[in-house]
This record gives sequence, C-alpha cells and structure tokens, in this order.
Amino acid sequence: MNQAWSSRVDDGPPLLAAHRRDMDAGLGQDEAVDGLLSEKPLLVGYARAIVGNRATAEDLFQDLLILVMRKHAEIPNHEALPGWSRRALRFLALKALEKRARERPAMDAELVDLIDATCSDSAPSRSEGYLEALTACRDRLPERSRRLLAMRYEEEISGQEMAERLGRPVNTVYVTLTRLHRLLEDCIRSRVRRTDG
Amino acid sequence: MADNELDRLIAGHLDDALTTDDAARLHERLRQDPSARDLLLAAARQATLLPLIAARPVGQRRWRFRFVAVAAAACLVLSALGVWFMLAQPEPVLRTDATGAMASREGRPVNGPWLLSGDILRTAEHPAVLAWTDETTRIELSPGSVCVVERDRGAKRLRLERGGLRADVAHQQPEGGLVILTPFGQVDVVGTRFSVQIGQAASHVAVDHGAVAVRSRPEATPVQLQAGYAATLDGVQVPRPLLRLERPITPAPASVASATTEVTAKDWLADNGSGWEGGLGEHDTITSLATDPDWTRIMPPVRTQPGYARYSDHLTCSITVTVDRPTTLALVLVISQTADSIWQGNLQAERPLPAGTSTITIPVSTMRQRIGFREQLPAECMVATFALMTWNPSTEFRISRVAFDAGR
Repeated sequence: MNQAWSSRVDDGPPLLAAHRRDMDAGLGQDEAVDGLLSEKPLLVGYARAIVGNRATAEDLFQDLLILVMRKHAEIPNHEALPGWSRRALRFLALKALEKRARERPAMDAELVDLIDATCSDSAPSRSEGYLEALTACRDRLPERSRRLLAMRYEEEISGQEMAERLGRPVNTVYVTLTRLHRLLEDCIRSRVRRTDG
Repeated sequence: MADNELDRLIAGHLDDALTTDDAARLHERLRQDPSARDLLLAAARQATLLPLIAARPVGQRRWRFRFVAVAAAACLVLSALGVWFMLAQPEPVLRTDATGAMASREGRPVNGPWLLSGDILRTAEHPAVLAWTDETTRIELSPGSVCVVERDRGAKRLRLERGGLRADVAHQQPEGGLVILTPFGQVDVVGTRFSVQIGQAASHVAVDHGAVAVRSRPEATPVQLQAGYAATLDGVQVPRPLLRLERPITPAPASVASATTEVTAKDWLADNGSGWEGGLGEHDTITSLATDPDWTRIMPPVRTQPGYARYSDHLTCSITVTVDRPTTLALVLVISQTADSIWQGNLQAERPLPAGTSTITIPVSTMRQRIGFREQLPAECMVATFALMTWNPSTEFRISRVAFDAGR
C-alpha cells in the first residue's frame, strides 16, 4: 500500500515531470567539477572584473560550483564547459550586482555583455599556461614593483593603506598598479605568441 | 580621459573603493573602449593569479623547464625535485585558544598554543577554537571532543575521534585543502561553513554555506553536499544528501492545537537515528528526498494513523519555506481512507514563490485532483502524507514549518 503511494508521488506533477532531463547525457558531475576547479583562477578573475571585490568573486565561483553540481548533465562535453561556466558566472554576477546596486553603482547587463564579449575574444584558454607566463613575467619586474604587487594582492593591503605606508597619494598607487598589470599583460602575450609560434 | 585616469579607476574598482562618480566614469569608459575592457580583464585575472604564484613552491613553478633537461638525468632531477618539493612544503601553523582544552604531544601536555602533526586535543566542558595563522579558517571543537592533528602532503587533516565541530573554512587550494576525518567517513573541504557531529553509529555532516565532498570510506567516490543539505556517514553506504531543517519547529500553541496539526521536526527525522537518511520503505518511517535538475522534492514519512490531518473541504495547509530565487512551489496531498488506509487519490496545487522566506497557505478546496478519486470519497479520509516540490529549484530550499488547519 505504502509503496503504491510512493510510486504515485514519484510520478510527480505533470508540470514538473515535463521538465525532466536525460541524466545520462552530458558531463558527469565529477568530470564537470574537476574541469571547473582546474580553471578556477581564470573564472574568478573574470568574475572579479565584473564585481571588483575579491571575496564576492570567490563566492560567485562557489555558487557556480554548486550550479555545476546540479546542472552538469546539461553541459554536452569538456569543450563546452568554459563557455557554459562563463555564461552561468555572468548570470550569477548580475544577480550579485543587483543585490549590491543599492549600496554602490554597479555595471549593468549591457556592460557586462560587452566585457563578456571582450573576454571571449582575448582571454587565455587555460589557467596553467597563463600562470606560467605570468610567473616568468613577474620575475622580470624590478624588486620594487614586485613588492607593490605583493602588498596589494598577496598581503591584501588596500590601496589606501598602501598609500599611507608608502607616503604616496592613493591615486599614484592605483596608477602604478594598473601600469604594472599592463606591462605584465604585454609580456605574457609576447611569451604566449613565442610559445605558439 | 587620460590613461592615468583609466589606470586609477581600474585599480580602484579592483579595490572596491570607487566613488559613485568614479564608478560612472569607469563604466562609461569601458562601454566606449574595448582596450579598456581588455585591460580590466587582464588586471582582474592577474590580481587573482598573483597570490597563487606566491603560494606555489618554486620547484612546482619551474617544473616544466627543469623537465626538458637531458633525458638521462630526468629521473634523477625529478626524484630530487620530488624530495625537495615535499621538504619545501611549509608546515601550516595551527594554534588553539586551549581554553578548557588539553593538548598532548606523545603523551605529554603541550605548552603554549601551537599544535603540530600528531598532537591530540581534548575538550572538556568548554569548546576550543583551532585556527591556522596563514588563513582565516576557524574551527570550533565542541565540548567533550577529541581531535588529532594530522597532515598528508599539502592537505591539512583533523581526525575527529569523538564529539563534534563547527567549521568556517577559508577558500582552500584544491591540492592543499582541509580534510576532516571521522570514524565513519571523511569530509573534503574547499571552503565553506559546515558542522560535523559524531554519533554512536554514524557521523552527521550539515553544510551552511558553499559545499563539501563527503564519503563513508576513503576509497569511495565522494558525494557533493551543498548548502542547506546534510548527510549521514555510516562507514559503509554511499551518503545521500538530504535537506535539513533550518531549526527545530515549535508545536502550535495549546489554544489552537485542537484545530491545527503542526508537522514537527521529529516527524521529518528517521526513527532509527540516522538523521535524514533513507527513503520511503516498508515501514515508512523515514523522510525521503528526491532531486532532479529541474525540481527538488521532499516527503515526510507516511502516517497511517491518524494521518497528518483529517481530510475536509475546510482544511488548509500552511508552509513556511525559504528559497534564494523565485520559483514554483508544488504541494501534493496523498489522501487515504482513515479506517483501512486505502489510498483514494492525490491532490495537487502550485503557487509562485518569491525569493526569501514566505508562508504559503493553500486551502484544500482550491487543489485539483491529480490522480485517483475514481469513486465517491468515503466519509472519513485523511492526509496520509504529502510532498513539497520546487520547480527550477533554488540552491536554498528550506522548509521550516508545515501546519494543517482543520478550519471550522
């Protein structure tokens, strides 16, 4: 008797049953999660470009991980994973920005789409290759520049506090940091071009 | 706009320190200028990756280049690098506040707050906090717990022998994360908030935020456990992630108890003490949960006598539920005859559910007959069980109260 109840409930309402997916199709959960974790740095970087805040970007990646655990079967194969992940991350980032919009001005969907398009065109495809190039390029920077980057991103000292410690205006600190990023990116691209060539 | 200003705005954005005007300027510049977007993406990417370079041992960073050495020397180089890599891994420094706790090393009390691999920490009447100095991870050992500090290559390991803990874990590197070992299984953590409680025959794990991987045996495939879910590790079976209640449900006030049936937390727990584990079996004592990419369903045990409520047209069902995104809630009532428990049919209703916590009240008179009901209903029928579902499920789906009101 009770088993009969169970199976009847298991049928589910037609509204819900109509949206069942074929769980056998697409990437397995472990495969999808492993793939996502291996590209975590690039995906967190992408999220950070949109939301700015490091912790929020990390939280978005956690949300993405959970989403992939649930929706992995919808991702047809490994090749589709980066695109799928970025689209999902874009969606999650917009939701996060929506929540924060009352506190501070946030990018709108149109701007996020432009950033996404730029990312599609120019972003590196693999974390590992980019990381190797970044390591080599950072090692070529003068000690003082490396120290600035370490203070900001390894020790997570804010621009304002760095300015106070260094006795420089905060704007100078910001300008210097972004110039270093530009230098590093030029160096990375030329290394990648040489490697590809 | 000069490049200096763009540079200032991009670094300010990544520092989360832009004023409203500056943010508007940056957004405008990004809209107009693809190279500005490119620079922002590059800076954000580097900002994320630079800390990883600092965390990587030099041997690991240079591996590719060392590997291209002469083939005859490759094995030697790799062996040497392997040994060096293991030696070069810095020991994470773990400390405890040790209030009310006693730490021992090789049978002797540990002086000071610093703990090493192999140290054993015992709490008595008070909790103790464990924290690593190089990250914000915080673990609170419950009173009456025994925990052994272990280390396996880069991974930090805590072997919880007895008691329980609550953990707030900072984001970990996948290859150097935190592992909680219990007598009945283990929890692999990348970065999240969760709790572990060891019982007599099983360990219970509940996740507040993020996700962990759990397994009952070291060689078993891990099962992902997400926020709002709990699982029981019994040392044998593959754990099943099941929804957990946010808090115990308090019974209805006595004045309305005669007309209202509250489904209490106890109703949703298994009689055999295995928490949320189990399915709808022969005796139907266990809450079941089913998930699909598009829906999640939770169903409490079947109650053969006297049911969750007497069936009538005046009956209403109130559900307090929390979801993190707008979705659709479906309620299915399984109706059976009170006298002999013969199933009569299922009623169903759907309601839109906004994000957040809401209480939805559904009068039975508005529910449609889904299946069954082929004959006229007997005089006395009951709600033998029910199912709650969300369509396009949220990552949060927490049911904190279900109440049946008989009406007049």
